[in-house]
Amino acid sequence: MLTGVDVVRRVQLADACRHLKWNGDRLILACDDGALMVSEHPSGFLYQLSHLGSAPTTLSTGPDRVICGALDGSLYVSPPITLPARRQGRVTASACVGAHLVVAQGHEVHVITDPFREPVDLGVGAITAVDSVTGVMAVVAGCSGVAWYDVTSAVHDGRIELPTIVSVATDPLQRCVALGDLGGSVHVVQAGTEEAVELTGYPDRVDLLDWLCSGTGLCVAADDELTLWRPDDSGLIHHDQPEQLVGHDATITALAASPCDELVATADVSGVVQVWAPTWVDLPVGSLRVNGIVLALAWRPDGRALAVSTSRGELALVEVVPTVAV
Amino acid sequence: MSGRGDSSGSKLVPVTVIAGGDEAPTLAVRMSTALRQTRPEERLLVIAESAPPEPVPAGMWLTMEAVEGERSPGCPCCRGRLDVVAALRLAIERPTPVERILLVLGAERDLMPLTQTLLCDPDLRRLAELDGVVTSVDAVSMATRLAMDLPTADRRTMERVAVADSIVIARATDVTPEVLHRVARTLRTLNRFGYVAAPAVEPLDVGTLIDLRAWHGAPHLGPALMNEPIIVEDDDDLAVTVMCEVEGELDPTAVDEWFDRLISQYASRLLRVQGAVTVQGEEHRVCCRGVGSFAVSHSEDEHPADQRSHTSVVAVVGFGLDADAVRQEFEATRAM
Repeated sequence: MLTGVDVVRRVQLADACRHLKWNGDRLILACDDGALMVSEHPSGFLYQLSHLGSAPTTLSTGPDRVICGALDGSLYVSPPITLPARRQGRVTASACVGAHLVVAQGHEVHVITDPFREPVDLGVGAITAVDSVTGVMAVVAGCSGVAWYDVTSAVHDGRIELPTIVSVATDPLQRCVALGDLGGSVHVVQAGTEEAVELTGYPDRVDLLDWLCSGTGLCVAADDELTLWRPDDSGLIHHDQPEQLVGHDATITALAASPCDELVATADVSGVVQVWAPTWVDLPVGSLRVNGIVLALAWRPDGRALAVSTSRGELALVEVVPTVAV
Repeated sequence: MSGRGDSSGSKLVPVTVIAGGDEAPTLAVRMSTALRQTRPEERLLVIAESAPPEPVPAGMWLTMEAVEGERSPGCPCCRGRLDVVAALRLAIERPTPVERILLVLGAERDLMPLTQTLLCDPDLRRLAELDGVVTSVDAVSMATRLAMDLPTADRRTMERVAVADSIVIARATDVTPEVLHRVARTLRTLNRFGYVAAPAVEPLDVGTLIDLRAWHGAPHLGPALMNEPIIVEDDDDLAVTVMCEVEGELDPTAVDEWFDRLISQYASRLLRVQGAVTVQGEEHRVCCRGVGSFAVSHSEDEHPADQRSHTSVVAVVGFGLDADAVRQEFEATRAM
């Protein structure tokens, strides 16, 4: 597979941009100076949506929904709702779960779209990550484990004790959840059964992991290592060793799988961005360089563009054209 | 042990940890005010768990809640400070990064997970460097404990005093000169690295508290400090410093095994390991440093020539160390 990777636009922002998400054709950017911005497609016109009181810490999007939380506890929500009384402390994670917006602060998770719902402690310690598993179910991970939370009925169950989890990726086929931990392992867990597989051996904590859109592979990055695990039909992984993907000489700082093709984008501290077709070859199929440490990558929902943001405030929009070589 | 350089190629931002219990935020304000006066061009940030106790210029103080994560459930020496990693990344990964960070340790927080995180976290190692630890000690409180024959300090304070590179004695004018001398002398027996100062009695230049690179390279120990008696007690609540020193070359395998044994035996009780060893077959001394179960090494050739020596010296600070055994086993690594 050959892949065309071309930068079609570069924009200089006032500050580093650590969070990027697409909301349909709109690219949402959360910058460290508190600016929450939107880039419209295809014009590329960039304007400010809001200004948070401090650096954004989390950004999530869903169909026609955006939620951004910040270091000082402030929130931006679109479309606007009556927000609960602001609580002090960093917003550590957020997710759009169906029609609901979920935020985490400290040890508690809060469904802010339900005005009658109080924050709840799921017993997973300080919460580090939240993700949507199905239309009503969220997976909530923290410093002492992981739990499942039904956002409509407020039932939480299936708590599993694990070392500190720092990243979560839900299988697109909704069979299981992959959780990266602080000690360099990945736990692949099936909701309900509590059956878990531990994939060990990473040199550092696993902040970056994502599933291929087909569910046929789990890409995991830690330090400068990038690997691919191939799950069985149940989503669990029974291999001893992953396939190694060789292409980064520096610490990998961002990873995102395409929502349409079996492509994965990764980037590192030296500004190198690589595009991989990991189920085909173990080398990059496309590459480019940007200015600064890459802090975020986000695929457009049609899988034909990739947004890249860096510590030096550069925003690059990259056109990606997958082609199959015969 | 293995070493790893800065992969981004940029200068590491020095981080000074201020571990002074309840007085730490105030000490941070004083230090930052003095630094702004003496180095107005330098971009300085204070990171703390609480709001500043006194007004500070906008953008100079970042408040973070403490979040400690464990690599393995229940393991005290494998804790990582997730808040610190996030805050330092936020401060440094910017178009105009900060150039110096003062990191305030909360009164209820242990120092060891913080220093371990600063030394071993992969993100922090490419962005920042632990410059030194400053702690403050209340003269009146310590004098009272000494007068009443109470333990010198609680374990958390003991930990801070034992590894500090600078100890600032607060309320020094509230005790007599004789008592102050006794307090300073006690601190000196607990701490083999640090510079002890009482700014109320003698003006303190803030420049002496920073730019130390004290956790990098051979320990900064003068002969006078090394000759002082070392307290050796079978007491798990007493932090002791064991100085290991050998003239001549060490056997590379034996010294590696000594480090491994030291860490496996004492991991959760090791507050600081720092040294430089002359190893057979190596042109330059190998510098080592570690906290808890973590240790790292690098060649001394990256240090200025006038800071090098041929003596192998390792300082080990920890609770409940068998000092004689540690020293004897180190001496046994001498090459035949």
